Amino acid sequence: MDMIYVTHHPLASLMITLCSFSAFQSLQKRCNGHSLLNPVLWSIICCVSYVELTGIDYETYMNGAQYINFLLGPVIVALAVPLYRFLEDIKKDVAAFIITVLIACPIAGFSAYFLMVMAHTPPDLQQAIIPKSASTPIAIEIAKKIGSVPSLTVIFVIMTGVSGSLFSTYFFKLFKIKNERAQGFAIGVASHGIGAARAFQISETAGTYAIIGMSLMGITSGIMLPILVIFFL
Amino acid sequence: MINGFIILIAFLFVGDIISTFFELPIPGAIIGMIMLFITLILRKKIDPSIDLVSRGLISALGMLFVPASVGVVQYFDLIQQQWPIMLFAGISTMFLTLGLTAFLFLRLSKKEE
Repeated sequence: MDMIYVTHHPLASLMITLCSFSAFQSLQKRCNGHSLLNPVLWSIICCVSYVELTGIDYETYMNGAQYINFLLGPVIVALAVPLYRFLEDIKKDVAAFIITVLIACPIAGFSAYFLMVMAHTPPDLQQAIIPKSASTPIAIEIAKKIGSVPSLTVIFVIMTGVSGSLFSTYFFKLFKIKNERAQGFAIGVASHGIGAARAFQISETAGTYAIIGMSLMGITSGIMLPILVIFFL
Repeated sequence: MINGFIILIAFLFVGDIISTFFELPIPGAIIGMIMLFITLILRKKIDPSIDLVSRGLISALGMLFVPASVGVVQYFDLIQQQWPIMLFAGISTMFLTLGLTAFLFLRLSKKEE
């Protein structure tokens, strides 16, 4: 039997994706949730290495991994549930939340876009960075809508998430931001779900506000960014 | 559990149809999410089946976008050339967003507690 039957089997790539994520998730748990052991980052590295080492192409990998990929749509819809659960917290400061997100959303995306333009990077990369502060599944959908490359977008989204979860507490110390609600909300808005996981380590309040930030940023990005791109770029 | 999944897929389906039919720039999944959010507000409760499925899916959120990310294998050359500016643009604007959000929220939110 040739190894090609094993490596080209759809269940092989499905198993690699599931197992590497599960393994790094438990490793991160054991190491007190250290941000550098982010399971998303490491399972992507594992799967990319697997694709490279076995010499299968991305399409062959997707034959198996599509069953996970399919769930991206339903999970975005499911994000309405945590948002509803925190409705009472949102109502307390609804104007502050909405105004802040409406300003932060275009600035987060287009400041990065203009940096990429000024550096004369290829157009593929310039557009791919725009949805970087949205929750990853939403960022992928936005990238598709604006005709960009979802997998490049994901790199920026993860970069934003991991750097936010690594450095945000130092940033708050440096600028003397002590309010946990503001800390959590800012982490959620700037670095979505990966940041929110870190915010829960600060406190329950910070975590809750991070989830609110990430959800509102996700919805706002999904509506605002494609419209802005279509009208202005 | 099946009912919860049916509800999510139904909202996604309707959202996608609306997005495609009216040629909206907004992704169908976002429209589905907003419709589910409004439905939850109107019904004032979360059905146990939706609660179960959404918790399950969201707990695996990180894993769900691994397959799409592996697509970077097709862009290795591009990344090899551009990684310094990619890192710089990604991380510097993260700090900008973080600071701006904290600043605006502190200014605008009610001072209580």
